[in-house]
Amino acid sequence: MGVLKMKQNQFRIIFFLIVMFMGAILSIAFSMGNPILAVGIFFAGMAAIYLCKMRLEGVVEDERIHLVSQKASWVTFKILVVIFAIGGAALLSMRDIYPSYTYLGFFMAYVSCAVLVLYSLFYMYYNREYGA
Amino acid sequence: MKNNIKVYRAMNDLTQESLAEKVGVTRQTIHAIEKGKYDPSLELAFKLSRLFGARIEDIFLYDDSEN
Repeated sequence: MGVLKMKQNQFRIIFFLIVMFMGAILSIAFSMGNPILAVGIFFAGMAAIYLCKMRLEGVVEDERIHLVSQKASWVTFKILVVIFAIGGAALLSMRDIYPSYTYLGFFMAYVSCAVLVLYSLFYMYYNREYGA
Repeated sequence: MKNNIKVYRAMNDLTQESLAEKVGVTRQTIHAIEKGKYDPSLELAFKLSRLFGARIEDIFLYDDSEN
């Protein structure tokens, strides 16, 4: 029995429907305060998207898509690190005025540091992988 | 970088879709290369040149002044 193949447009519609369904169930899970349902629907949605992607016809990813993805990731990374670093520093510097946000400030500062460390490790790995 | 992909594609009676399928990329990538918005990798350039039976420098025209 052959595997049912899917066209790009069909995939986009199904992807949109899965994300909408996940969003609806996640909001219900959050309003009910049910973390198991939230995590379950997240992984179920990811699995459904993965299975649909496996059934796509033709070439799905190529070098241009990888380049676009790299550039998008790089810009997202820079924006997130800057926002978290500045936000964390600002909240920590104002901890006398807003003491309830001190933990959030530490969290943001630590996340920005952790992301930079992770980036450095991966940079070293790929730098070695590609011959430097 | 300018290129003659569209000309070679027409000479070989290929659509963007069929050319993309032959060289293993998406139709959007062929479109982007033809429009000069994306420069292909060396590997893809070789695939295209072999498919068209032409030299890479006949398909892709490098212009120093662009950089």
